[in-house]
Amino acid sequence: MSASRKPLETEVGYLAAIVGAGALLAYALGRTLLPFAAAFLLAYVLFPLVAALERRGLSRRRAVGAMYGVGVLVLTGAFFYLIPALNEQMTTLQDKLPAYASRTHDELSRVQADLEHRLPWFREANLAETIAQQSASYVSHLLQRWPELILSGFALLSIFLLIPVVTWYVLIEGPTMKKALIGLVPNRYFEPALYLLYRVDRHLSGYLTGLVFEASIVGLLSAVGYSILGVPYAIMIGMLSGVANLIPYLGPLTGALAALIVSFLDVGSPGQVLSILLLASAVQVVDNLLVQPMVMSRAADLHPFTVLVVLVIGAEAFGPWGLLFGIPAFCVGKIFLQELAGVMRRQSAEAL
Amino acid sequence: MRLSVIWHNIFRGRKKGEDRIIDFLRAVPIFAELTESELRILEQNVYLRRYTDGEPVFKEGDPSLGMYVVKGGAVDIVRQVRADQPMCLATLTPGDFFGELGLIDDAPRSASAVARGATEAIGFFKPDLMRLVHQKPDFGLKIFLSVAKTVSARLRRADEELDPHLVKHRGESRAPATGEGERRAP
Repeated sequence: MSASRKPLETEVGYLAAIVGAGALLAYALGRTLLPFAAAFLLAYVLFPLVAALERRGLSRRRAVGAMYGVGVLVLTGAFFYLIPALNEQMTTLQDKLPAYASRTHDELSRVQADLEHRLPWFREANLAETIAQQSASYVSHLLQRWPELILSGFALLSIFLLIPVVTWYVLIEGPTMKKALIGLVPNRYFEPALYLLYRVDRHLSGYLTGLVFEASIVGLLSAVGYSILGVPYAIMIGMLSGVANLIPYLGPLTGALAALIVSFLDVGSPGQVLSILLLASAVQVVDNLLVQPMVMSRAADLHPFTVLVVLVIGAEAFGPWGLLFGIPAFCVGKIFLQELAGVMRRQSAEAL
Repeated sequence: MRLSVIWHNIFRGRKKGEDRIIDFLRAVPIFAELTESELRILEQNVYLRRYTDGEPVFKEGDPSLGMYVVKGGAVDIVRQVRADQPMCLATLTPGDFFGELGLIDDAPRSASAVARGATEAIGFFKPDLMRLVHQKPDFGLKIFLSVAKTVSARLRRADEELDPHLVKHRGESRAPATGEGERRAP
């Protein structure tokens, strides 16, 4: 009467083989998949907004259309206001770079003289000259080429064409795609798979939306704070803090480090050290006590120590991508194992 | 395959009497109060599953995730009374529904549902209901209210069926003239 079944171990083996083959394919396709991955992640971030608009009575298509309209307006505004301000700060930085390099050189020479006095063998290293030359040429190269680097070739095509188009389709057809995918699962695993997908979906969407929101708040607070303190290039430092905050706990720290370096190079003395450190601590406290509990509590319920371990392993294994996607990947893996354990537990109970 | 057959399949349209998922959903009491457009949205959120003879739809003790409507074939609701002693509580035929408590609570399934012969069932699950509640609260609330009404009606019926037994049981426990029962359990 009942259909013959393969042992669970065999089926888990098949599943592992399929996941492994998928991972290999993704690795082989490499950069080609990046715009698609970015589009899916962007869609995950935007899904809650689409749902909010649908709650107000808009159809999904109109909700996505309205969101794209607002997005175009925001980007146009950013293009006309933010980009010139940013460009001005970049140009100023480029102009001041020789002075910064000379100051760095002087400071390094002083440190080297001090070291040579204490350790005579240090003379051969010529540390100050080497570091100053290398860093000046590298920073100058970056500053000259930053618009090209950001908007070059494939990136341009991805940003202005592929990512918005794929995101549009994922936002409109996402539920249908998901339904078709889950429909392929055999009856035996249908309900667990549906629940797994639901949990992963809710988790990822919550995490990514929270991450973007958190990064924006940290970036904004840092930019405003450093502007009030009179730290040069406050907008750039704010943006850097925001982007760095995509990696947990790194935003305010990176911002403070950048502000300290810039402040030191500009003024020539670490006069603002205390106020910069106080500001970074305040931003970190606001992030930890207000923003994170509000936006991340339901998404990534992980102990800070676990977060650090995952980040270290992620960075070691996959570099910057491991830092960025380590936490969501860990959470998805955790949910998957929890569900698999549930299925195995029930099947063992049946076998007894 | 002949070309005419392919063209016929592409342009045949839907026959009037052909079974459509939406027609089955309309006939289910839980969805009876939904409007035509709401039924169409619901249709996009259900899954048509096919089972072979003896294949479980779900098993006793599995986590509850949602309800099913029998579209074709039949489903036995089976409960394990003792080890290796399953008892068939009911056989459900097209139009019948089961597992609706799974839309509300997370308690494990209280009985197994097993396909009798080749069977088709339409599944509607909590994650999709939650998404509908999130996106269209009025619609979601309507379904929740209908599930609550169905559960309440079943509870009332069970209560009515139990009532004669309870009266009889009370009568028996009051029989001793000592009245200890009342004092011990007020």
